[in-house]
Amino acid sequence: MYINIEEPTRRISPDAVRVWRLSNFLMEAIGFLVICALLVAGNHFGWWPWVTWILWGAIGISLLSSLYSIWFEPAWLQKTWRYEIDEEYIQLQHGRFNKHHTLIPMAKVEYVTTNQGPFLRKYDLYDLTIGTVTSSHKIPAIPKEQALALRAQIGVLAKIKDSDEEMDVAP
Amino acid sequence: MMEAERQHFHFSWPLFQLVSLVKGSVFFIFYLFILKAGSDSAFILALKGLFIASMFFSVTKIFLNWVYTRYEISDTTVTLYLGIFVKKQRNVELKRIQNVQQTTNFLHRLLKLTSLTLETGTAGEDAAVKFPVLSHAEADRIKGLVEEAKRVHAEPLKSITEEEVPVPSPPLPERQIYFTAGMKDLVKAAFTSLSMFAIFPILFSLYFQFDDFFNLDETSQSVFAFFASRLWLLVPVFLTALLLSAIIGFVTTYSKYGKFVISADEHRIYIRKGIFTETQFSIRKDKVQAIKIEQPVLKRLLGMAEVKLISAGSVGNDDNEINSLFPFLPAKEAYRLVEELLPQYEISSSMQALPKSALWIRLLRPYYFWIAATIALAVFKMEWLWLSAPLFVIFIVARFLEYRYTRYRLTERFIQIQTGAFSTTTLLTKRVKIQEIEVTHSWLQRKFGVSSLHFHIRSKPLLATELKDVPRETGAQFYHWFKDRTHFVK
Repeated sequence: MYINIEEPTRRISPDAVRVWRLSNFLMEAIGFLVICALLVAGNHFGWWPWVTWILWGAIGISLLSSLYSIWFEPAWLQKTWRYEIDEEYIQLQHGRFNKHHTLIPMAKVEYVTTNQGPFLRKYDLYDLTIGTVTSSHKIPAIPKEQALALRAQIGVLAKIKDSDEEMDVAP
Repeated sequence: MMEAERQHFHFSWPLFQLVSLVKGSVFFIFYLFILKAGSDSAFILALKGLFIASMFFSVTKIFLNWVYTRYEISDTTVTLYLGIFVKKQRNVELKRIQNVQQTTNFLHRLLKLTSLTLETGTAGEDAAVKFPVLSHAEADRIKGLVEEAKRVHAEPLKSITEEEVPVPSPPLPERQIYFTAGMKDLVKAAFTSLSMFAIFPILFSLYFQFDDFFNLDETSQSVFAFFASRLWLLVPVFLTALLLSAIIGFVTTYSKYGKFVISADEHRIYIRKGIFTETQFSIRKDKVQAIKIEQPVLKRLLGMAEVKLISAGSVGNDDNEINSLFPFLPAKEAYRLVEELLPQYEISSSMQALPKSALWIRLLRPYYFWIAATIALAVFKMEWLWLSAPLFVIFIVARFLEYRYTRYRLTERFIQIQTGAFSTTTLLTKRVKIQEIEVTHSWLQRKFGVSSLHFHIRSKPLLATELKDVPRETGAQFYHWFKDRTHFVK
């Protein structure tokens, strides 16, 4: 443990890996096809050669990024995602190379929603989005019952707001 | 509870909108009815028709808007009734108001009126309640209600028998003046803001605009030839230009910052400025989210600092921010002012520096911008490629300075952070005002034993602050520090 804090313990669904592989594959494939289409068009209409070089470069980058985002990233992200939700705080932690530890007071939570795309639906998973006044955070790929329970729990806990003001006498 | 009454906006509101409508269409009027007055072309005629129709539409809309827009204010809530065809009702609780701005432009002044904006600090278009035109008495009444709202909310149920007589506006509490900009301050401001040079870009753009019509190039060439043979003549010309621009610069500064007064009472801070357009800003002391101290290069060299009060509500647009405690104060005086206005804040001059390892990691991080610039030079301007070397030196110096000037301080109630290389920014906020935090560390940072701190404060625009490369122990300390906030918050 690099930073000496109590780490959150709850994990996201192992199916997240497959969901992300699928959706990332789709995105990468679309990008790849667009670049290929441009290359074909370039050859056909006789665009300047440097355009073609850039497009070939883009294809190389696209292949490398596919390798990362389809093969490595989903597995690493799923492995490192942790969260913890109690009466006072929401703690999130994720990332392998760039590790993030996030701490959100429950009293600052403005809204909580669950979302489900077609890939998540296939595995009966939900993304849980927690919004504060200044930003929003997503806990991805949580099994249905857990996600709905969390949403209800946060909804109740977040009703209590603090005033952003200090107590008159600090204890 | 006082029975609120639905009111129209002031009856001269349409007049104000008409004036701004005419102002906005001056160009079209000039083009269609003066430049092309005699034109018979079908296109111009069509444009004229279209213009008149749209004017007619706009004018009708202005009047209908006035007829159908109403507001009412109770002790706790402002309600706006909007919309001509689609009716809309907006309720804003007075205790949610983050700051109040009052602007009196030239037309307002002529008619002894003013305008008022109540900022709520929510996102989106509906963040503010605007009263575009109202009497000073009504503005004072609304300000008084906003001020009272918090107290009324705290101790409700003071049952007042309902009567027809309007309740008199609650008196504004005693105010004390803390700062008034004198002539000396304004002269300093004119020099430091460089507004005296503002005339040159204006002259240039004028020149090029006229050039389009009258082909000035020939004239300017003959003028140039004239002066080239009589060089000494340039001296008085240059001096006159300088004097003129200094005067214009001073007038600009004077109109913007003249009559700058900061005052405060027990609960609120009031800032007022401007000669032709007068702006007033007031914020409750406990709604100040943070204090930001900015020192651009020039101000740092002259020992000046600009202190801004960060509010969750909007504080005006970029070139007319109203949350600043006079931008051209000597740093010491600025700090003294903050201490007097906000005694609960403590600005400390002794802050902690970053560890040595932070310097190495900062120097080691890839120089993306430099790489891109070098590639661009190599591709487009090969003969200037040598520029890449001095550029690299500049980047190294900047990183070194950034390391030197990055400081922080974490105390029981506050966090204070200073960043920047050439110009520096210091941010001071209370633990209880921080909305959420994040501690991050990258692979490279782990090799050097450092981490980064991030936190969000309510502010418009959003203020997300990052402090890079503090020791990893500080990262953990920061996390726990924020986690303990529950013991301190009301």
